[in-house]
Amino acid sequence: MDNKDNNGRLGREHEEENSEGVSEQERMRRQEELDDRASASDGRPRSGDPFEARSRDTHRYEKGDMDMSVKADIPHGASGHGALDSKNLPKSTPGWRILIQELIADKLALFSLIIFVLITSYVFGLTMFLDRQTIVAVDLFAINEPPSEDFRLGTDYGGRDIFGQLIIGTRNSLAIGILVTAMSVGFGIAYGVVSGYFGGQIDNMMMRVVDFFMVLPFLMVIIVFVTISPSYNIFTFSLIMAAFLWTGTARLVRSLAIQEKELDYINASRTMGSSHLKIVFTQMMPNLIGIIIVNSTLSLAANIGIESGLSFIGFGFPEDYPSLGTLMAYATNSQTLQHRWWIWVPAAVLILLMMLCVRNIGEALRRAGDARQRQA
Amino acid sequence: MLKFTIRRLLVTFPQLVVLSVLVFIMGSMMPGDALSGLIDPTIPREAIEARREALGLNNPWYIQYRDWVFAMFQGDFGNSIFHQRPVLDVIGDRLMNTIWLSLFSTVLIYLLGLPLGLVSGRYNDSLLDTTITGYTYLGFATPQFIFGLVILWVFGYNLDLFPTGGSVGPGIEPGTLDFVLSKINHLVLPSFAIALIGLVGTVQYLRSGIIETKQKDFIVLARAKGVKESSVYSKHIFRNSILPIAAFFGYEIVALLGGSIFIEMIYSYPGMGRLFLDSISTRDFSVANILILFYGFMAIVGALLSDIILSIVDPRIRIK
Repeated sequence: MDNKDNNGRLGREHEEENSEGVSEQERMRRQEELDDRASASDGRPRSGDPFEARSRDTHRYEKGDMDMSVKADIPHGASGHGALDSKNLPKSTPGWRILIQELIADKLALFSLIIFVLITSYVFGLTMFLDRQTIVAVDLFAINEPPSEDFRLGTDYGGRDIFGQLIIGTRNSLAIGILVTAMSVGFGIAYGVVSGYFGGQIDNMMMRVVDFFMVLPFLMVIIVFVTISPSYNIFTFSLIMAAFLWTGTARLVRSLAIQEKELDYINASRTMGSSHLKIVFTQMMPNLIGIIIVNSTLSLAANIGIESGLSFIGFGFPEDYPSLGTLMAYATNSQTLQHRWWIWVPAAVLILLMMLCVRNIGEALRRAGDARQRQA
Repeated sequence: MLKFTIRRLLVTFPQLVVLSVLVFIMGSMMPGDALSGLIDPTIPREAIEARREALGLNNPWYIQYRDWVFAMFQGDFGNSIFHQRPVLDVIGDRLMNTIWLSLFSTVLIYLLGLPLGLVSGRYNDSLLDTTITGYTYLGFATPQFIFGLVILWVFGYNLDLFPTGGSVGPGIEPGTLDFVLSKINHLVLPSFAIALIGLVGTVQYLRSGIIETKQKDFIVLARAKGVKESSVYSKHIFRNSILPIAAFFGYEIVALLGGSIFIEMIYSYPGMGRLFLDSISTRDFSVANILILFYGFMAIVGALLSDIILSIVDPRIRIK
């Protein structure tokens, strides 16, 4: 998305340049400048004294007035073609700042962000004072009690306080969502970049692996792995989930990397002898990061949903580590579903609210990546 | 066309092989083997060993894998430890129920989704469109199981309009009209729960397709020729914006077949998704394994189907 837009902008700049009538002479002069710079930077001038070439170069860069004059005869905005000193170019707004501007301009997204931050800080703050052991301890004298003074949201069939479980559950769901997203997106980025950047046979083979993962019924495979996993805890659970959820990011990053590597700056950097590692991580990555952020936000929403779904059917967290899905699972009992709303409705509302908020933020960020849809 | 199809078919074979290897590995990682359900504590250890040897359970894994695949080609998918019956029979009992559920939800998705998308795209930015877009926005963020529970709560229990579980009422003879009606009655809630969430993708695709198509030159031409507005939409625009949806048909069906685990669980609907969950909780892994193989196979076929449909509706794919 971002790329297409960039190309569009470049195209417009070309038109602008032509319409203002840049002479052939001007273009040649700039070509010379470019050659000079290239030769100065790798220390091998085409002709003449190397020191002269270099000193001429530094001279030009140091003198402000020269810069002004150079800038003056070049049409505004025609700076993307490499002829100018990069230090003097008007800087374009960095990607992350556009994302923030867009987020603030989009009222719904801003509202979602505030709610999400409030929920998160409330939950994480409160869990520091709550003791998991006392909350999950069975109390047979307070089974299935409706909300009252003692229990703000009532109790479940084991006499456990719903409110406390809700808070801990939200924290667990959020934490695991973030953990799974970090792992799957991280691996997906590395995989996609390698596949897209190197291309050819490597790409072909790596993509066949992705194709294979795409046809797996991942929900079922995750369930099977969860059941047969010998040491089962939060970390292995996230690892199992992440192992089957990275393909989307990998495909997206690969397609971006394929577009990006054709651009001139990659070739230029390669010609100057930069290593692949440097090109990929310090030069290409900043251009992809916007879309990756959007993608991770949307997958965070999806992962929270998948985790609560798995806990709901009983293959997520164990009962003494409540998640929002565990609370929802009580509703599979028809008595609970009908008569004890306080057990499952708050959890359902929280899941919905969190997924909506995260998605709203993600969608706003996605729009920010597409200049046509920006609101700021 | 034929060349593309054949090439696409060739790609599916390695996928099938890798899928079967994965299922086989998962099967050997799972506790228990073909004898587990038959072992009697009074049988001497040597007798069990002899049986294991005879069944080939002590062979190296690649021989076991080969035997397993050959057996499947001959229709032998192993036995269910829990049900004490061939796996194929156990799955066969549930297969039709899941197919009915998927069929109903697919029909509902297109029956409701296409008009909604058409209206939303035609009158974009109107109040109606804002409502529909808002709904799709909400639908994307709602997990299927929460929606299913809410539907069950409202229409099943509070309003008491439809049965809350099972696939057919008790004591009804198969083959009668009552039987069919009871089946349909039991299908209403689960299929609506699937469809109302499942249609949001279709609505959004169609809406953006229509908004994009209606600015194209050939639409202006059609209007200039004096084609009626209703038939501009139903013939010219609709046909051109339906392509991506038609192409996703294969994936959609497979997603429905596999994605009904939650719904089948909530509505205690005796389909394959529920069978899978039951077989996992009763540690009946031979059934669970074959179900994964089956779903994986369906997904491969679905992807193949989608690609072929896509190559029919969009000739540019074939050239590549």
